[in-house]
Amino acid sequence: MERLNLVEMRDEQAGTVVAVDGGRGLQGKLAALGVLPGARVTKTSGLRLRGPVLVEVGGTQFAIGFGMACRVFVDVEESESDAGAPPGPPDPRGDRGARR
Amino acid sequence: MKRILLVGNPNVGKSVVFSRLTGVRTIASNYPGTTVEFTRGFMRLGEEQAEVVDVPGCYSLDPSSRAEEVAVRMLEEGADVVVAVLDATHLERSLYLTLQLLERKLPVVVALNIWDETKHKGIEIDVGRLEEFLRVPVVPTVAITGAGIRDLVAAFSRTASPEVRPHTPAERWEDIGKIIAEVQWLHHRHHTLLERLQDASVRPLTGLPIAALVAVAVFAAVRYSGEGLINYVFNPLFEHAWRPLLERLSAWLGGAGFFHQLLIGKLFAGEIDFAQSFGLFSTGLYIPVAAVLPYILVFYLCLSLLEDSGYLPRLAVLLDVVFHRLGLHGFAVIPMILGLGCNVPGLMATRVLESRRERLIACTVLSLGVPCVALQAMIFGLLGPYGLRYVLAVYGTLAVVWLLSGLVLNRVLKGFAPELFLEIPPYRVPSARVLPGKLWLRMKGFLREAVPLVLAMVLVVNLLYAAGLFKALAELTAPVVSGLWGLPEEAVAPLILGFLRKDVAAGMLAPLKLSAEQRVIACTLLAVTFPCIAAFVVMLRELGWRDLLKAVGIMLTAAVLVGGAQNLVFILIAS
Repeated sequence: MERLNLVEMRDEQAGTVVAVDGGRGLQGKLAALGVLPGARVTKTSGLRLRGPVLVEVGGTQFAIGFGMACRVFVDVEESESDAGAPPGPPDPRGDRGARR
Repeated sequence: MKRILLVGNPNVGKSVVFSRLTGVRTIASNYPGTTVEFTRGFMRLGEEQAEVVDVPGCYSLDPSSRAEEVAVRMLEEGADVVVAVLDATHLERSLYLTLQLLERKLPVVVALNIWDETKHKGIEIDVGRLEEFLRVPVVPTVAITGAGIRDLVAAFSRTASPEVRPHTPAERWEDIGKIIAEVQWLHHRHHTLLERLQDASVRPLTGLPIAALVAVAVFAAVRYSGEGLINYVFNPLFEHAWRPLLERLSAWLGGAGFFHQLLIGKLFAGEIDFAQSFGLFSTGLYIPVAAVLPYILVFYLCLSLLEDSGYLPRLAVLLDVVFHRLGLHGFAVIPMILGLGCNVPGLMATRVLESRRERLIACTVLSLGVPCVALQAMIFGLLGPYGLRYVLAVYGTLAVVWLLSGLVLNRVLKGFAPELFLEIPPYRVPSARVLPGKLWLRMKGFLREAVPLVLAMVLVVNLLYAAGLFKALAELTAPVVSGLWGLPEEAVAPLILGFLRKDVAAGMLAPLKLSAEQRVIACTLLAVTFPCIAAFVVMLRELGWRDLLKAVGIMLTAAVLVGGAQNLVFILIAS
């Protein structure tokens, strides 16, 4: 199992939220929508150029701004398609960071 | 009087429930001490009248946004019935707020709205079991058709406030997990076409072309349908029905004189010219009713379709990157799009933005670079005959002004750009039941606000001309207007009067002998300089004097620069 933030996760990857790195305001805002430690999230997609990340939580889709998405850490599940792949996908953060 | 509060997440159909309960007798008002709006109305409850309040949509009762603060305060003021409106297709998310309401020991009834969609979505909910868990009445409703509303009202007498201790967020979600496991089953089914479109419209590769397509489609629809309505409906109406009456009045007034000038205006070769005569009954009625109304009708039809379909939040996601550079987040696209209709609702919609900084930026770029549909209608009218490229020159300049001013403000103002955090609703086919009502409300709003103002302005213009005031002003401003912008002296009056109403001001340009280039400059300046008086008042309310003065300073500076730059470009092209 791997710990990534929402920006680093790949599209269609799912996992369990382990931490929201932020103040009470941010944590409360996210918790009201079910993004809190223990919740299962699926990343639908992320927009380039430091754009928002789309996630699905409890059957609802949300767009989360890039800066906020960086602060949500997720223990990523290994999906079936990843099973045979070498451990650890290339770090997409460097990739996205470079494109800003 | 009994007090009924409708509380729920944004976008669960609260307002539709509200209008079902109250009928049409609704009044919108400002809540004292805050700028977040709520709606209030009345309904009959047995023998007595009850007040119904549509509380702003919120996700929780932890005051982390303006809407939540308002909701909490209204709940603290007390209520006889709190209707928790839930989205049955998103039960899990909706329950969080419901649990918080129960923890506050409020008299709750649950409306499981959008019930009809659960079947298409393969969601099965055991209402009885849910009632057992929550210990309050639960009523499935379909507010759009009115199904279940009667049962909901009947349940008002069975409200309950069971004993529930305060929970932490984690505990609440744990409870929700347990409830969901017991009361809801999901059946597998294939993705519908709408759902596939849903994904395509937020991915950049497919989303941007879709957005461009939507923009072009709306623009073309407004432009050509508006023109069609004018040519085939409104112009004939004015020519064949109204002109004979006016001609009689004109003859009766003797064809000239002060009152003739006021009511009918100038005659061109002995004929009334609806676009140019400038009397109260000629141009004063023609501009709002025949020149602008058709475009408004089509624009608001398109806007309502976009709003109801659920496309706008997706546009917000796609454009977040752009808006972030302006110190805003993607959701600010909604005030901008509303502003394309009329700046007033656009400016009011900036309330959804969190910080004062954001609201200043949004209001400023909106009044600088977003022309209202009334002005746009006149731009089509003034420049259309010269060719599309002149129309596009105005739009292109405004887009550049919008972008540059936002970039600069984001640099100069202290603070940071906030993050987007937005629920993406599923696409819905706009309801044919809701659409006409919404359209009618907006048309009525325009007619009620615009027509008296336009008439008043035509009157004022005539009086000021008679008093010779414009001559003095024209001489005073000649260095900028003629020297820098390359416009004739007569253009001063319309530019200044643009403060009252943009469409009439643009109408005043028509009789002037301006070249196409000069018309482009004048139209752009009308959009950039000053918001019209209605928008100005709203800006004052939303921003306060200090920020308003900043915004006005920026607008005047921008106007001087933009008019000068356009003039320079045209001179360079010509040489």
